Amino acid sequence: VAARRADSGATDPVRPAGLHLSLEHAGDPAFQRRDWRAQRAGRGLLAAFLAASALGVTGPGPLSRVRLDSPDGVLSIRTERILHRDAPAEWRLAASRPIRSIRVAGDAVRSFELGPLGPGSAWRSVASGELVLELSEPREGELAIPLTPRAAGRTEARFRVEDGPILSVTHLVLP
Amino acid sequence: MEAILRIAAVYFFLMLLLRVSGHRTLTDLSTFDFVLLLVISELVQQAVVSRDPSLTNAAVLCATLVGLDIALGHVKQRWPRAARWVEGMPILLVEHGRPLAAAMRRERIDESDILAAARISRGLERMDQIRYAVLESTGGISIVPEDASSSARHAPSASTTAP
Repeated sequence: VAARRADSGATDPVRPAGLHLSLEHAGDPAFQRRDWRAQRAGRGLLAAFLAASALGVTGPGPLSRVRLDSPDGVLSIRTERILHRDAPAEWRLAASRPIRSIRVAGDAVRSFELGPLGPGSAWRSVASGELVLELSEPREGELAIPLTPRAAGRTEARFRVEDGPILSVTHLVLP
Repeated sequence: MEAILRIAAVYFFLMLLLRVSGHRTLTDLSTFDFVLLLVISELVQQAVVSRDPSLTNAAVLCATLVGLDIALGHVKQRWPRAARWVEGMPILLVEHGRPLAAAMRRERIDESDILAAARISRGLERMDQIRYAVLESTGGISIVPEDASSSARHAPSASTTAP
């Protein structure tokens, strides 16, 4: 039996020749090979996860960025589709003409904490699940609305400038 | 993406910092060193996590650290010269009972550290009982006793202990 073990050990990377005969070692070459295979597969998954994360599949990144333009050209929104719970983010709105207010509706009104926009501007609740951001004076150009998602899941936000068309963006908030 | 770059920067900066500080930083944990490590970890935690305390961010950061470690392991295996730069090399501290003062001074190790390692790992009492003492790249001191050839029949040829 010892000779057979020595023969097999000479070609077996798990039990190098000359070591295993005197070593009290509960080795299982078949299991070890399966374990190494699983480790290699795990490393492949890890690399894929990291690549996906870097690209924006699990959070802010190139694939997560989105820009929406309203059909009338008045409003455009830039934001990240994938957000993290309790991590600050923002909606970057751009208006091509001076606007006084922006109406926001959808799940985001309940599950996002929307930040202030400076002196004179304020959020006003006009109906259940709908807010209006009233600006202190008509503004044109870019406007950043800070937000913090407070609940994980799919969240939709709908934007409307006065009587213009509705722009809708869907976020995925990861825990 | 920003989180990945942030943790990678911290990883390489800390690696450089610990490499510059010498072999012993992580193995010789005096009370001061322990406090130092706690403070470093707290500072790094704030810099890395930033304003995103989410589970997803933590998962990405952990995966990045493990991925960097695996990648560095492959680099060290493939290019041994890189391993020398990353981890350093074992350094001979005692040769046939004679302390090598220059190496010991550069590594901030004194004879009492070597004698302590000799007592703990081999039960030796005097410097002249040590054939070789080697500061390993992991930070521990390996002791090879003068009668290593006879003791090797019963035990590994050397054992390593943190100084």
